[in-house]
Amino acid sequence: MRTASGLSDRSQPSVHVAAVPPEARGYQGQRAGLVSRVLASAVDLVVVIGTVAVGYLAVSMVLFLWDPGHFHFPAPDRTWLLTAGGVVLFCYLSVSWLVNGRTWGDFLLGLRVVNYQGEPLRVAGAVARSALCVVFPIGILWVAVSRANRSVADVVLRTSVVYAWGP
Amino acid sequence: MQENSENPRPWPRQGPRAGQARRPRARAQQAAEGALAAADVAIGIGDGAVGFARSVLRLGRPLLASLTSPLTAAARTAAPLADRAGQAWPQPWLRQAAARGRQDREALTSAVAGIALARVPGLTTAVLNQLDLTAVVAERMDINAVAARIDVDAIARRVDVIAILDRTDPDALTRYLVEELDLPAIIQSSTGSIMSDAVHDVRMQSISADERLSRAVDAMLLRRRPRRRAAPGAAGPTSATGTGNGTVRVIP
Repeated sequence: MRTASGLSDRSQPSVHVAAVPPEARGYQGQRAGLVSRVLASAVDLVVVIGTVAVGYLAVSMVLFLWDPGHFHFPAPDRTWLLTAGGVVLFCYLSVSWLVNGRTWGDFLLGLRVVNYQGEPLRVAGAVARSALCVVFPIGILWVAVSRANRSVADVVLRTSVVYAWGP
Repeated sequence: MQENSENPRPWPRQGPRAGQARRPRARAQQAAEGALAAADVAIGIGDGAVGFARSVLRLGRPLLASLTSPLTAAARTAAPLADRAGQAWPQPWLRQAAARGRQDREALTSAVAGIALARVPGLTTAVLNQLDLTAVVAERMDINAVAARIDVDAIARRVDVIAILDRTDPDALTRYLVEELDLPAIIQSSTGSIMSDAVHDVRMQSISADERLSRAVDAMLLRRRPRRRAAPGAAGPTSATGTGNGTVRVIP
């Protein structure tokens, strides 16, 4: 993406979607269904796993450089991995919703997170929603049952995930 | 030359030097008048000679007829037989005169032809310099008719393509094409377009799946009212194409 100054706008993903096609214009601003949101969450999960893997390799490299003679790859237990993944996921979701109103998965699926006024989340809302999604991720399944396509986090925090294909 | 370029007029310049230029002109006029008088005298003498020749011819016609009768008779008999022309003359002195005349004629002919041929290139060049050949060809020649007669296939068969390729630099040609075509920009543009189409397809497929899953769940829960999907602050549907609660047509 190019900005008015001619520099790359690195805050947005590099995939450029020119315009909303006529078939999708009727859905813009409406709450998304379960499939779209699960797919977006899957993409975010891949991003988080990749980030944790990169962090693991970075820690291994530091250990190798620190003591090459006694180096061996660290073997963290499941609790440590889940904790690290949860922290990364929390930071990733908070920053993404606060800065762009969407994560990478939301962007690929054309979704955006808004508050009860239809505006981007503020700091408190973004942090609270991230924490709730990390602690209780299964709450997304309530979207399929809800009459308003809301998850548990949406019901608690009065937020919405809507179709928003525009930039 | 410098004076002529400064004074392009054909008449002499008026001024102090006009008298000096008038003297040679008077001399030239006097010489021309003398030459005319000499020519008049020559013409008068020639006229008198012609009159005298006429008188002699009138008086000596019988004698001349007796001299020319053998010549005309021999010419009549020798005309069809050009190879034996020299043998047909009854008088030897006439035969010798004819031979000398033939030699002189042939020598004169060859000399004239040589002179003419020697002048041909110069004359041709001078004539061509006076002509606008391009205009003449464009006006008087049917170039399309000429071009239609050209056998392009024959010309193409004679072209040595391998020799032409040997004279080219493939590396320079490749670099030139890459620089002119801006292949990185084309690849980036095409890749971006493919990604955009793929993203649109995935989004439309996911919306369609959302609709189907919602209808299935609502059917299982025996719901009859449609879902309230409109979010706060949403502008709502902007196009009649997408219904919001019906089947989504996927972009082909």
